[in-house]
Order: sequence, then structure tokens, then C-alpha cells
Amino acid sequence: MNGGIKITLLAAGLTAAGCAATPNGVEVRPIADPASKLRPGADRLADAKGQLAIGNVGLALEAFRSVARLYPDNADAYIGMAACYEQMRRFDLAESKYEAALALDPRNPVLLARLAVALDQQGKTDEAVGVRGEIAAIRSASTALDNAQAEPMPAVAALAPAQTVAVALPKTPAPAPTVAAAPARMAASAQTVSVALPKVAAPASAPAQAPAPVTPPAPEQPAPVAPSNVQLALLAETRSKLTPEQLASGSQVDVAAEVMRPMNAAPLRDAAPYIAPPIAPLTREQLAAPTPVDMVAELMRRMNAAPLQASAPTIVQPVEPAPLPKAIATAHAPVTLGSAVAPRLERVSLGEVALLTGSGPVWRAPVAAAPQELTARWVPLNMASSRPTIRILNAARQQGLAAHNRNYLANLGWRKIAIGDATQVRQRSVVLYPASRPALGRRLAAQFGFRAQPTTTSDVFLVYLGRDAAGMRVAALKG
Amino acid sequence: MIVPLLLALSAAAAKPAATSPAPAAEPPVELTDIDQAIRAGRLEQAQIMVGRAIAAGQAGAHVELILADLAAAQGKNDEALARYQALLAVAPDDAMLAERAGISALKAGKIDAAIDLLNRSTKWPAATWRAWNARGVAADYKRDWTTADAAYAKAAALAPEEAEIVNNQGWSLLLRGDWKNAVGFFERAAARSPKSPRIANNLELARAALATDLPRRQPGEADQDWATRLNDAGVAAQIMGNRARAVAAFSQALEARGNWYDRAANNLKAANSK
Repeated sequence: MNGGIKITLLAAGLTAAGCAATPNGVEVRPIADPASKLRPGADRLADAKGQLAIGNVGLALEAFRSVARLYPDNADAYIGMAACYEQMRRFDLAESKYEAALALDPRNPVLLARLAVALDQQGKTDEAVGVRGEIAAIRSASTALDNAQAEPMPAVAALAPAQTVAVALPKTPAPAPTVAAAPARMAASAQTVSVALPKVAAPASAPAQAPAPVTPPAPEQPAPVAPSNVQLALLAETRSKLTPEQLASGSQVDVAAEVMRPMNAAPLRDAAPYIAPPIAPLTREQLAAPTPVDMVAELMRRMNAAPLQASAPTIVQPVEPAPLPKAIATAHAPVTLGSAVAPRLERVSLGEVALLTGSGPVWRAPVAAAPQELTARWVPLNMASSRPTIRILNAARQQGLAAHNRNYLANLGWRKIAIGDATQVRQRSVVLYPASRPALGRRLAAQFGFRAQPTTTSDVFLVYLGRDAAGMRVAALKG
Repeated sequence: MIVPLLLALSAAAAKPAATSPAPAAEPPVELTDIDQAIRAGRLEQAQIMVGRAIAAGQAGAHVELILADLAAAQGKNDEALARYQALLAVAPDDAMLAERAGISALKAGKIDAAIDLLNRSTKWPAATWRAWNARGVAADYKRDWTTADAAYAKAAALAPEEAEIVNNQGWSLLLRGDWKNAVGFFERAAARSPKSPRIANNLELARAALATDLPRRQPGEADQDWATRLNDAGVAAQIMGNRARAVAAFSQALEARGNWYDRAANNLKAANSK
């Protein structure tokens, strides 16, 4: 009896010790594509990819083959088998498996490109050229389709079923600390971005899909002497990521942004949408520059903004004041900048600059004298409006594609991203940006390497992920 | 008593299965994509796609044509011919079908059927150079040199840059024993299509027949390739009546090849027996 109690106590003690001994807590990592769990065969496929990634080509091949047996319509299984055969230098078998995958997705340019590489490896250069011609034809047709569909793209109203995801910005130690120098100056609809310069770890750049080394073509087997021949007629991406130099430079401008407004200011729904732009990172040398003015000039240069006129913060009265108390609106005549549209920087202290991205009113004069402005309440960043400013729409009909790219953008510092499905399938991906925000639109497009196109029908940034984006993902999976 | 009951039950059970709809869960397959895959020579892809299309319930003339084209591309000439002829029964005046059927018949060795089908195809003004080219080949099989020349001439008029026509003209001359003129045709064909192994072989054969020496081994040439060229040179010498040279070529071919060369051995046996 006593022995049983002792054993029980010992087991309980060991369990408690095990729980308490967890070193440094539990590491939690985000799942790149949460929806992948729901796909048939996804677990087996993930296992196979894992085996391939660690070099167990034989086990990976068997796992991919098992998936293909169970789910014959799963193109990823055939692509995985082809990748295994490529690792084994059996490009003839890889070609066969790429053809099997193409049977399920015959116009996938990425698949065709990989098939062309496999053909090249076998010395079938003419066939490879033919396949590349097909790719060009598909891409040109897709471009023509995109051009034809560019304007009638669904507006925001058509995006109603999109899944909205509230992205909370990181909580700051104190509410809005970066602009504490001018708390009462924040006006309604101000689009202010405070720029801090913390060091962030450089994200690992995705490995480019490097073609395998080209081997000299095998000598052609001369056919035996044959009678006259008869020829049958019928026989006849890369996401634009940050450059490695930029990433390796260590420090990167991290942008914490929020629309800040005092109490009694204009409602947020009237405010123009904003986006937190990941500004091109500065180098260590630039960050170590002795005078902060140099840093500001560098930022200005990168943003193609007008040169900073003064290092002191400029108080700008709205050109078209938002609904403010009448007394304030009349008391302070609006002051406009020389370039009202261009983003500009303003210094709020020796260590901080504020980036003004909007063309509209941003700052206004202190309203301390106004009887209405008694107190100012700051909105913590993590309580800010969750209205998305970027919508990623899956136009490739590939499950999890939008979520995957949302995570990608989030890792790069973009916030307020919603995902959903586009109403139409597209071949080419495109970024549609509000016409008033071309620089940011181009910057967003550059994150993916997609084409950027202005639109007047939407006030948010729309990222349509076409089938080329799906292909890029397939390529990334292999790596 | 039990047996009729079981029969009745089995009939009742079988009835719904017979009337159950075809498996329609498969999404439709773009038939033009299958056409493209066949044209590009991706026959495995085409085979899978056509299987999916049929599983999805797609049928009709286009599917039948794809099946015929696929069989032809896979070298199943008899099957392709049968399928084309079934389509021709529905559309007897289709020149394209007649052309493809004729080419399949030619490849299957059914020369008479091929001539009939190719005549049906070439009677239309829209006949392609391929139909005329195949008609010339069929005429060559029949030693009908006049018809062959006329057919090749029409084919060449329709596609003057096509190397295959020039090659076939050269082969036609070679069949007639006109080796010197055949070399000129093969040279022109090789200039237009320098990568074609068949044209290169034909040119090599014609040159070897006219040369006084046996073919020499080229730098880096494999044993098998050299032996093949020697055998070809022997055949050419035998056709031209130079038996001693033919025997020498076959013997050297047997020696050059690392393993047993059945064809050269048979040729040597035939040359020695004469």
C-alpha cells in the first residue's frame, strides 16, 4: 500500500518537475499556410516535403507517390515526385512527372518552365525551346487579359465576402510615444507615421530556383537507314524581395503607424486609409551618421520627397479642414506646403522624424486655447481601427494562397491586411493602388514583383494573386 | 424457388447501377489543352487529360479526333487509322481527316489504303503540303516516279522551305539509283534543317556510296554510331553493285561495334551469298 503511494507521489513529482523545467518557455511559430491542414493529403505531402528538404530523396519519393496514389488529382504530389527525380538526376522521369502535373494544370507557366529545364538537362533543347515558347504565349495572353480586365476590376463593394482579419499592431510601452512631443497637435484624418529605427533581424531570403547545371546533350542516336520520312502535322518569379544587401545591413526602418486623433475630432471613417509603409532599410553607416539630418535626407531621397525645409516640426493647417470646431477652423488660417501631395518628413525631436504621407491636412496648430479641446486621449496602437488597408485576393483558386501571402507581407512589416477570394480567376497577379498613393502602391507591388496599376475605384490597396503567384508558391515549396 | 428469387433480387439491385449517372464529379477538361499537349509531344500529359475528359463525361467528335491524334502520335498507326476512318465515315469530305488517315495508313504499311486516302485529301484545293508529301512517299513505295515527282513538286510549291520535302525528293532519287543528284537534295535539306538526324544520315549514306573509301571514324564518335554508318555504306555499295566494298563495310561494322550487330551480320551473309 505504502509502496503504491510512494510511486504515485514520485510520478507526480516528476511530472511537476518536467513542467517546471521547460527552458525559456515554448517556442511558438506561425504556420505559413493554416488552411493547408484542411487539404486532402496535406499532412502526407508535408511529410514528403520534409523528407525531401532533409535530403531523404527516396523516402520523399515514396511519400509523394503515396499521396499521388491516394489523391490522383493532387498536382503537388507529381511535382514533388519530379523534384525527387531531379535530385536523382533522372530528368527523364522528372519530365514524365511534370507532364502528369501539367495534365492537372496545363497552363501553369512555372510547371512548364520546370519541364523546360528537365528537357534541357536531357539535351532536348528544341523541345525546351518549344515549351518556353508556350510559356511566352501563355504570359502574353495573360497580359492581354489583364489589360482588358484592368479597369472593370471589382471595387470594394465586390469584396464584401472577403475575410477580414484584424491585425493588431504591436503594443507599445506607452501609448503613442513617438509623437509625445506634440500630442495636442494631432488633427483628424492625419496620416502620420512615426518612424523609429530599431534593429530587426533580417528575414531569410527565399532561395532562388536555380536551374541545375546543364550537362552536355547526349549524342543523338542515329536512326538506321529508313525510307523517306513522313512528317505528321500533329507531331509537329520571383517575388521582389528586399535585396540581400538591404537585409544584411542589419538595421531596418520599422514603421509603427496609426492615425492619431484627439477627442472630438473627425470620425475615423472619414479618414483616408493609410498604410504602414516598410521603407527601404537604411544601412548601418547611414544609421550611424552623426547628424540626424543626414538620415532624414536619406529618407527623403528614398521616398522621392521634396527636400526638408526645416528640421523643426512644421505645423500645417488643413487645406480643407475636417469637421473641426468652428472656432478652431477660423482661428488658424490653413498653411500649405509647397508640395502638398508628396510625402514629407517632419522632425519631432532630435531622435525622431515623422513621415507625412497624405496630401491632406495633417497637423494643425495647437488648440489649447479652444475651449472644446480640454483633454486628449490617445488611442493605443493595438486598439486602433482594424479596417484593412490592403486586401489580398486569391484569383488563382488555390487554397491558402492569400493567407500565405498575408503572412509574407506581415513578416515584412505590413499591417492591416485582409484576405479573400477574387470573383474572377486571373493568370497574372497585379497590385491595384489608389491613384493618390502611387509610391506606396509601387512599393507594395515590389514586395511581390507584381505589376502595379492605379485605380480610382478603390481606396485600399488590392493585391490580386493570379496563377503566376500560385506557381511562385509551388516553386518556393520545392526549395 | 430460391434461384428465381435471387435472380429477381440481383436484377433489382443491378437496375439502379445501370441507370446511375455517369461519374460527373470531374471538372471538364479543356480539349484545346489536350490538342496543344499532343502538338508539343507531351503524350503522357495528353493521355492523362483525355482520360480525365472521358471520365468527366466529355464526348463527341473532338474527343474522338483527339483519341485518333493521340494514337497516331504514339505510333499506334493501326488504331489511329481505324479512328480516323470512323470519323471519315461521318465527315467523308474532310480533307484534314483524309490526310491524317492517309499518313497513318502509310506508316502502318497499308500503301493502297494510303494512296486512296491521300488522293481524297489532295483532290481539295486546300490540301496541305503534308498531304502532297505523303502522296509522293506513297508513290515512291509503288515505284511510280512520275506521280512522286509531281506530288513532291506540289508540296514544295506549298512549302518551299520545308526540309522534309527536299529530303524525300533526294530519297526518291536514291531509290532510283541516282546517287549523285540525291546528294544535292540531301545537302539542301541538311542546310535547311541541320539538326535533323535523319537528313544527316541520308546525306552520309549518299556520300558514302559515292566515296571510294569506307567511312572513317569521326572524333568522339561512339562505336555504335560508327558501325551504323559502316553498315549504311555497305548497303549503298551493295545497291551500286560494288560487292567487295559492301563486304568490307559490313565486316568493319561488325568489328567496330562492341556487341553483336545483327543487321550487319545479315547484310554480310547476304552479300557473301551472292
